[in-house]
Amino acid sequence: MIGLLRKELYGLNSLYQKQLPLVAVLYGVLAVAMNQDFFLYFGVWVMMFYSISNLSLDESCGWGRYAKTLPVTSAQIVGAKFLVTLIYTGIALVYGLALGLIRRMVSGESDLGVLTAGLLAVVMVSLIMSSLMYPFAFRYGLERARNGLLVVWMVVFVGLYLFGSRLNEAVPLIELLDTIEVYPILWLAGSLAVTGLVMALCFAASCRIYQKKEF
Amino acid sequence: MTNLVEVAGLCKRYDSFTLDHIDLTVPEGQIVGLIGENGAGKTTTIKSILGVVRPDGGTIRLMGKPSGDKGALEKVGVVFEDSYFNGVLTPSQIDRILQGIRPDWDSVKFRRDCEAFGLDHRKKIKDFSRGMRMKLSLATALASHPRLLVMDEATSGLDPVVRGEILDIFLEFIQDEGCGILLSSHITTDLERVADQIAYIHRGRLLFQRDKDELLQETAIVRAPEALLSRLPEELVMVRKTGGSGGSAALVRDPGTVRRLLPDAVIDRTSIDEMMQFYGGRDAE
Repeated sequence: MIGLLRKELYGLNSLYQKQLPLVAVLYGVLAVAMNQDFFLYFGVWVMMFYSISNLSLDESCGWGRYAKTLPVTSAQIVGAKFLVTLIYTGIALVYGLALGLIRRMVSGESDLGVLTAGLLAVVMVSLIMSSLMYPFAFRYGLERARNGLLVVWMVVFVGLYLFGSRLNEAVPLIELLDTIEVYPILWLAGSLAVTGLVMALCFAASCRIYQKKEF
Repeated sequence: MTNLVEVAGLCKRYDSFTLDHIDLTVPEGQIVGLIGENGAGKTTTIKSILGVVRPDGGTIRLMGKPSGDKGALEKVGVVFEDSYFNGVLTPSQIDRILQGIRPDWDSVKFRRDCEAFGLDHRKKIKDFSRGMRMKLSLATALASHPRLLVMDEATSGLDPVVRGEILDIFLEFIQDEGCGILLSSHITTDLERVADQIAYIHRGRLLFQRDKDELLQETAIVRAPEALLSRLPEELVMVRKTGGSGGSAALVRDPGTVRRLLPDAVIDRTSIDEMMQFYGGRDAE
């Protein structure tokens, strides 16, 4: 397992060794200079996409075929990919928190609560997104999975735009969201549980697809 | 002699191609050369043995265990047509990756082999020539002290010098009587040099698996006018080729008997290449 994890990390680090520091500095400078946390949230999103790009590297060099001949299980191969996404988004979370603190020190603010909640929310959405992407990518290839999920999200957002008010009449979503400030720990625990559940289900589906996949 | 690979009745069906009841063995101490035209089913056979694709029928035993068994795969080194590592990696990184994957990985041997092959540890794979990438794949396959090497077109596209070096490594590897090699190749001269047995797959079917020396000694090509060739008993004729500028020809078994029956015919020794041309040629009957 450790070898598979090394393979993922070496591949990504070699690929993005120039780009990553540049993006980190750029987003950091923009966040502090423009007094905007948005760039820190966006950094998490970008890191999630970086971690997924390993799949296209695998596709281009035929790694999957070779991996099947190694004494490793499908769960280990898939697990290494999920773990790398966790590591990359985790790094972005810590980096975002550190820069957010610096930004607040510069601007004289003190409250880190909104930033922490925001970053955690983006991390969880990123993990859910990537987890949904993996089984589709193993089944149809990264490009088709990416395009397919984009269409799915588009349908969701257009649906919300068109029917959001009607949905809100049935389920008071806005009021529900207002309870975040009242029950933050409950919301955090619930969101983490949902994220964990989605990840576990997607991991199981990915393992099953990978095991049956022929190269 | 124990078989490292035992394939019996292997079937694999695709929309446009079927691998039809392949029987194949790779005994210890032997190099088995797998030959066949493009699309004949060599790669599918190899993939099935390694568990990369799931057969639709038949049985495969890899060192006595089912295909895809992780314990058996620990003892198998694989080389495909090109490198399967991401081009941004270096041999040094591959060393550390496989240390964490293969239980019998020998870092010292890997580094020694890389040096012997002239591979720079810090250079990225994408900067290697094709020959160097093949050597890296071979060093990778050998560093876990496998009992079985499986190579799919490992020498294709390489110059004769590099091919010669790689074939020498095969011969050195096979010095250990407990080891074996399954080698698929289009370059039949390589197989004539190193293989102990030849297995010929033609349009998804195994035509034969035979001892190479026996095969080459016990077959010949007869060139003669059609009228003369037709006098040969059918049991001596393996494949017949009609027409052409040089008259008709046939691939025959038992050249001694054929020589006695047709003293005026031209009888030449055959090569694996010619054998393939006979079986795969347009005029083959």
